[in-house]
Amino acid sequence: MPRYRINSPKVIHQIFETEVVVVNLETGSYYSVEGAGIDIWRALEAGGSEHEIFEHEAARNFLGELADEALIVAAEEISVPQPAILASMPRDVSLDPPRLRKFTDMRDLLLLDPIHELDDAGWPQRRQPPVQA
Amino acid sequence: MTTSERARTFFDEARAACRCSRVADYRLAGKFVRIRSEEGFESVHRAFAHLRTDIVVPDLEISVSQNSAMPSPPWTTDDYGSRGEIRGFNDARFRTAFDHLAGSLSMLDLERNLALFWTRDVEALPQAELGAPLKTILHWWLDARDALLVHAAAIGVGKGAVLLAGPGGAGKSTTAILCARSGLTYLADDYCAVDMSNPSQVHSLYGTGKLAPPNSSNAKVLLYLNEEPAVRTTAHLPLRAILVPQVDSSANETRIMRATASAAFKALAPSTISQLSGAGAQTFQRLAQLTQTLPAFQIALARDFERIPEVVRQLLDE
Repeated sequence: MPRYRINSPKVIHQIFETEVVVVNLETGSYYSVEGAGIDIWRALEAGGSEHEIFEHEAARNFLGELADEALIVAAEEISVPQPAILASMPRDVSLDPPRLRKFTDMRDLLLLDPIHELDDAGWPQRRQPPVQA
Repeated sequence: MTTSERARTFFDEARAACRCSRVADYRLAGKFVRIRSEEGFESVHRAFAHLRTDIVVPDLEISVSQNSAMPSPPWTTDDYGSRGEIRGFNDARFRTAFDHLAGSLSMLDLERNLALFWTRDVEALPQAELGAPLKTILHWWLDARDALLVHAAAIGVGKGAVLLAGPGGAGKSTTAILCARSGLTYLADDYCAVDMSNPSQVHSLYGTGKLAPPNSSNAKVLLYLNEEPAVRTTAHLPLRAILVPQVDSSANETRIMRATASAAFKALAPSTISQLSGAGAQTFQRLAQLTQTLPAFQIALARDFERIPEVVRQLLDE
């Protein structure tokens, strides 16, 4: 199985008791990681993508979801997991499967298209605000 | 040439092109800020008017200009980042960003505590900019001083205030303005500052607000609540809680329920981070600290909107 790491600094996160909130600064999407996904994320943060939690198919599928959203990327270096963090994982992957919820309401606030048009002095033409649905 | 040298050269040339005729001082988040503006920027001074003061030496001086003599930008179209930051003109000393919707440039020199805001045409500034002028500069400068600009409304009584957090359409503005016109103290509709070194203070920055006309689908109207005689404003109040509004049109009664720290964080962090150039991991961690030290509540806004101020007041009086 490939090794993964969190895609920082483009991706920032905060771990709470009941979820992990993750923001992708490049796309403007933010996510809620729930269930056993919290422990999977903690394992990734600790550098332990070879931990036994990843023996579960649900966990491996979840890694695929995170990779598809560019929240994690392939890790080139081998990092040693921090045993204290990985030892404290109470969630059973089969009983409380990992879940990823995506929120895109902030995306329109970011400039997703590059600047194309400049005025005679070299300043960007003023961009029109996105049309609200 | 280093980033600082490149930025300083352009910054000094740009400031020299300003023809500022109006000077006014304000106390913002406990700091003294001098705003020097050209003609046409009355809207900027109106937004800060409730915080006007007289000072001898400012902590920060901002030049505000729409001068056509502004030098051409020394960067290319490839240098614009997704939140307006200019590649090659941001380092530990200088911050530079271009707001594509406002058509405005913001620059800050953290070493000399000087800043510049320039737009081609002040008449064309969007409502979002008029309601929260100079917010990019204030975000950068306060961030370097252990304070946090937050995308939230704030309303309170003598004992303290609540932050109203959530994305557009959640009911922040409606709740804040209804409460302000019902006798609660008004601190913010869209942005306020939280002092992290004294984590229980919320500071007013803008006396503006935005409200949709009743029974209308028209766009929101910009208001200057600091000019309404019946509205009470103040510079700061102790911060007591975070309130997350949510419209519940099926309910008969507005009610408040406990919320989780993560719910408050999701209401605050993504919108704050998305709209402030340069906001990243440090802002994220400060917001997390805020949500983990303050109690959080959800307010379900029902059809009895006239009761909303009373419900908020009851929470603050506890």
